[in-house]
Amino acid sequence: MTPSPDPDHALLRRFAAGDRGALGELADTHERGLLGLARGLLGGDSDAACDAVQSTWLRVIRYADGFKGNSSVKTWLYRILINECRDMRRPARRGAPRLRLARDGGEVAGAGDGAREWARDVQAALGALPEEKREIVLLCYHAGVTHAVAADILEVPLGTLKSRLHGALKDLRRALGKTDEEVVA
Amino acid sequence: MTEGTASNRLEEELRGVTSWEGPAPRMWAKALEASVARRSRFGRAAHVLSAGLRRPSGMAAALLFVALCGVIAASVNAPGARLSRRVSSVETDARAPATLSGKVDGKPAGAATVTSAAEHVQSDEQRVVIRHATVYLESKDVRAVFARIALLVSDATGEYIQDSSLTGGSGEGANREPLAGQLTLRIRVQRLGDVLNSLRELGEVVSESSGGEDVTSQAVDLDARLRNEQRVETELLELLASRNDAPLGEILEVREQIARVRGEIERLGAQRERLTHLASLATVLVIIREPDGTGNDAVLGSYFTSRMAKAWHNGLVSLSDSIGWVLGVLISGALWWLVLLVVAVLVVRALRRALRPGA
Repeated sequence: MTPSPDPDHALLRRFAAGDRGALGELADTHERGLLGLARGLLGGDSDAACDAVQSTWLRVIRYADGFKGNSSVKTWLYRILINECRDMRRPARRGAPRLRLARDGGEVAGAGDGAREWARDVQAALGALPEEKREIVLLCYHAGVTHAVAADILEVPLGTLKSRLHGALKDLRRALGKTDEEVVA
Repeated sequence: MTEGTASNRLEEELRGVTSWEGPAPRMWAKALEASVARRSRFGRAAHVLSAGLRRPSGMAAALLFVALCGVIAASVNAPGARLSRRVSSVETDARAPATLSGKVDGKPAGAATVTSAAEHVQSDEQRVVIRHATVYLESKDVRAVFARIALLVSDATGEYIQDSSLTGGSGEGANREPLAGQLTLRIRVQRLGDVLNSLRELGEVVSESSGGEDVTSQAVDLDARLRNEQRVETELLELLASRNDAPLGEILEVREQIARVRGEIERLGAQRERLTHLASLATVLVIIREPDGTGNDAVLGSYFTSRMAKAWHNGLVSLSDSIGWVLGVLISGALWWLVLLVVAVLVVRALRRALRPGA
């Protein structure tokens, strides 16, 4: 049985051949996902997320004709995005801590103080995680990304990913332990 | 609320962290615009370059660039490149002959045009090259490969098999004569690469060579002569029309000249057409033979020995090529290496100063 052709790959080929609209079609499928993940990786900063996604598209534009198809286009896009986010975080690491505690527009309308505080605590706990673990947690809980796909994106074995995810969630729960009780109350 | 509920709440929050609620801001469109703008911004490139050079990684990249320049300079000065430059200069010096077989009113017609036409074609770099390649293949099934090669030729586009032969295959055991085939293909130049790739897949490539004969000078020469003969013909016809009251003897003489010039035009046109035809089709000579040991276990030892000898020979050739290349790079790029050395010394000094305690 032959594998079904990747429609994203076809779009990328069309774009490489000069069809600009194909990039728009590709973006329709992936841009919101990329933006969401970028914002998560960049501590809730929407502007920085937009920058990261724009840089990702720039790289896609530049290297579209060199895409060999060894992985899916989605995996490729997410790899580029994660590298962009790593690059964007790097200068911040040398200076003052920059992870913001509030997620732009993340609160549900009418959410109470307790819920907002919980969201802030989760952000803070995520910000305290090592980069590697934070990427795994956010990628694994990102819509449409299975553990297998996440392992492919991060180029780690599936077992390794699962064990690191388990460890990261454990750290998160430990960090949020006190908050859990408050939420429960 | 139970611990499980709190865990679910955490998972729900994590999902929310990476979700994008609003409409996508079409960053791809901005990226497209930026990529177009970036190509034209040389100033920005220069700024990035200067900023990059201030960093150690940028400096390392610059050193690498200088090293690459050394290698490129070496390759430009390589004997092959010098030869091609010499050929090019010879071609540039080529002039179409200014002699004309006909004269009108006692003066040579279009002598200046010959040179200008030649220069025009040369400047446009309309190279006319007759390409040829030879591929030596080994296959256990020579007949099948022979038949498959014949299928590579596309008769519909004017390609054809110039000649072909299949010999040997008689006898038994050690006395068996190895089967060998030979085909000369005439294929369109545009398909030469594809056909060579297809040939490589049909068997083990023992050797392969390709080349081209640059006949641009001949083509330019023919074009110029053709143009001049046509000019002479026009002028003769004009002369004939304007002097219709001339004595019959002179009219006949002019007609004779016109007939001669037309004959020359026909001849030159045919030569030019032949040259174009030759250049449009590449010649590929394919030689196929059975491997030495095929169907003859008794000669397996000698086959092994010959392969070993060939491998040894190839190894020596590769080694000498590599040494030659390294020496060429070192000698030809000497200036760049010197520059690289100076830059490296300066960088090391700068780094030492920067790393000195209290600096």
